[in-house]
Amino acid sequence: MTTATRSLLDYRLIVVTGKGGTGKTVVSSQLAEAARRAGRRVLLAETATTESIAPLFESNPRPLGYQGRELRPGLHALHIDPHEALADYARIQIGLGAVTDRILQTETFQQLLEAAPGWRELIILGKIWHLEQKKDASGRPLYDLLIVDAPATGHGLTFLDVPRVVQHAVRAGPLSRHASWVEALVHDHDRTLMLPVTLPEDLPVLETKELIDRARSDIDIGVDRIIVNRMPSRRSSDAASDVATLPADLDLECLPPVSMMKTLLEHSARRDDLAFEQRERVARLCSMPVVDLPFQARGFTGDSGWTDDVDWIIAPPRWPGESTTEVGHEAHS
Amino acid sequence: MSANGPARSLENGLREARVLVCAGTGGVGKTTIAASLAIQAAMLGRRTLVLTIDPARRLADALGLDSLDSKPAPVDLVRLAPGHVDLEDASLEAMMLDAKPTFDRLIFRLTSDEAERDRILDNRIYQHLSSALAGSAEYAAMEQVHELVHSHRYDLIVVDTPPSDHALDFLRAPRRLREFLESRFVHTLVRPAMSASRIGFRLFGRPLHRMLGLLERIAGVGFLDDLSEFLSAIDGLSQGFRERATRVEEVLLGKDTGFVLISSANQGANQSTIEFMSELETFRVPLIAVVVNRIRPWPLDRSPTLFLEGCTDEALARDEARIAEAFGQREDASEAEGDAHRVSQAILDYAHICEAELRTVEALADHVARTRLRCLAVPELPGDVDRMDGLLAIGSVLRPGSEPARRIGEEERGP
Repeated sequence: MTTATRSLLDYRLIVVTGKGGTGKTVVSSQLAEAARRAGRRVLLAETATTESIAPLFESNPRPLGYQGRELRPGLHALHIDPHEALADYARIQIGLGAVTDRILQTETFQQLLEAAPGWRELIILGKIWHLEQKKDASGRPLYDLLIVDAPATGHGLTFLDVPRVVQHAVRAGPLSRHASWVEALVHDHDRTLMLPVTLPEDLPVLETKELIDRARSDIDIGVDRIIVNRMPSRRSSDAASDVATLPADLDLECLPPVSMMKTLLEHSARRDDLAFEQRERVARLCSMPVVDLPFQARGFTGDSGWTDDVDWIIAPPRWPGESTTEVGHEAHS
Repeated sequence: MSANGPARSLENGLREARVLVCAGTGGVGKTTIAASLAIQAAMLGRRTLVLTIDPARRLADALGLDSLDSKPAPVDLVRLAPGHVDLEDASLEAMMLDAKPTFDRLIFRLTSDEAERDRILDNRIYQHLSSALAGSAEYAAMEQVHELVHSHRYDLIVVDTPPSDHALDFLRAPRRLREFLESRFVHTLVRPAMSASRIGFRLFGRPLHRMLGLLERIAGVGFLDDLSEFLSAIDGLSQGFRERATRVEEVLLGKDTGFVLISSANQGANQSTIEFMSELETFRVPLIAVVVNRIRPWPLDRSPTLFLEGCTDEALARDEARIAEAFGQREDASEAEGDAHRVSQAILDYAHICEAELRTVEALADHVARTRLRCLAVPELPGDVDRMDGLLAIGSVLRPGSEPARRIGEEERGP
């Protein structure tokens, strides 16, 4: 069952998927930062309607916009807005001029576009494909690793399935050709990886199983590990058993009375146990090893959070139970 | 009964509304809250139906049903929670929403001609509009609610909505389709009954022609064929679509409907909840309560912030030394120190989490207060909530007239 898994840094395109609220954007950013530190030239693309990456890196963030910018040396980030990408596509790929922009903006055109299946997804993926193709002056690829923070809707799967669907539906023309290029990239297990992010909770675990089942059967995209975000440590449960041995009348200055500490730590420990169960469950249900990302009890912001913690994400995945892994929790006060 | 006016409180919702819609982002415990509210309404003597979506099927287990399907099944509350006097006359039924292809069902209902029906169902644009774009699961829910309301078999229907990242897909779906069908463009195309071919499109003037050319290059050859086929096929149905969409909106926006927004104490959920609220406002949806679910209990009288302020490095060092000393009677010194440090850090972690939760919840409560509504806090329960006793415990927090429901912002967070 255990297959040797490659390092995330050895892929070319990583599509980070997961339902809203799983921390997909933070995971994408963390991966980008880890890859950058490892010397890769990284492109990080966000695709949600509203931008949220820049605030993870900067305390006074400016929007990234469609052109994007260098957030850190070696890390270029951009926000792919489908309408801008469409105008871009029309200009470059189809070769239409200024008149196109006007047409694209008319209300009627927008309405018709709404009826066109999957254009958003296709256009976004097309843009990513285009970025993947980019070369620098010496003819070497401009980016070593492209990371896409996929849209949260429909598990981000509709997103990946669109090129195939379009290719079948559209019989000829530039679009069909472009869709087939994008499809080839999505299906290339050597270059492309889908990275599902989940939480150690019941519903996210079930949704992740569904996502991976569908990725395997319908999409044919590589998946080799699951990121389990916000994993607690075992600290509460160890501390709870320690506290149980203390005399009830121990006189303490700032910490709560022993009985209260016990209640509180036991509550915490129960919650943590559930998280460990869910982590094991997701690995079992999906037959896939996991990578833990520690829960940041003291909050998380880009400025303080990007210390040494980013490397958690590129650690090799493990099978829960293999050896109980402690997630590091030396919180920074 | 309250300063908030009779129609806008959870109490009145449970007593008087015909439909309660539980909305919220995924993973906040919507299904659990919906079931708890339904039980409370049943205890108030109302014939109640809870409509749910629960992939885990745990709710079916909690309600003592082998499975939930798309037929209402009676819940035997007396057997599940013996000894609860309130439950003796309570009437509760539960059913699972059928969130499968619903536009398809609608097409079946609206068309009698088999060939026409197949033509619509096979159309690429129909398939797209009905699933990817239009939030059909949400629409399905509302269609079913509409039918159930009109069956008059229930006093109250509690609806659990599908987890969605966009708050009001179920409102937007019918509206979007209706707007599309009513658009000037579609209207012009469909009216002259000459649009069933590309020739139809070609008859329009040059600007439109150019636009269609561009569209075809983006959406692909065949798009216009599909579109014109879809439009002509659906022409006869648009009246039916429009009427149904309108009626679904009536159910959702009617005076007998109340929305309950469910959130949790994390920042992401909080953010979505605020976005939900502004969307609800745009649609003029009758919001009656915001429930913040699973707040970690904080047992001290003073707030986590005050507690953390008291934990200076020096005070902590002294406490750790005392704890280590107490441990020391049975362990070696350095290990005892390490364990003592672990205890204090675990407690601080917990306090930090509670502080962050409280800050998040207060920000939400402030926002909610502006709409003169209340934020109701449901503490995290130690056990499995998806059992009858868990559902009753949550319900008792939300129950009309019960005090445990803490109104955030009105009083300090207590035990």
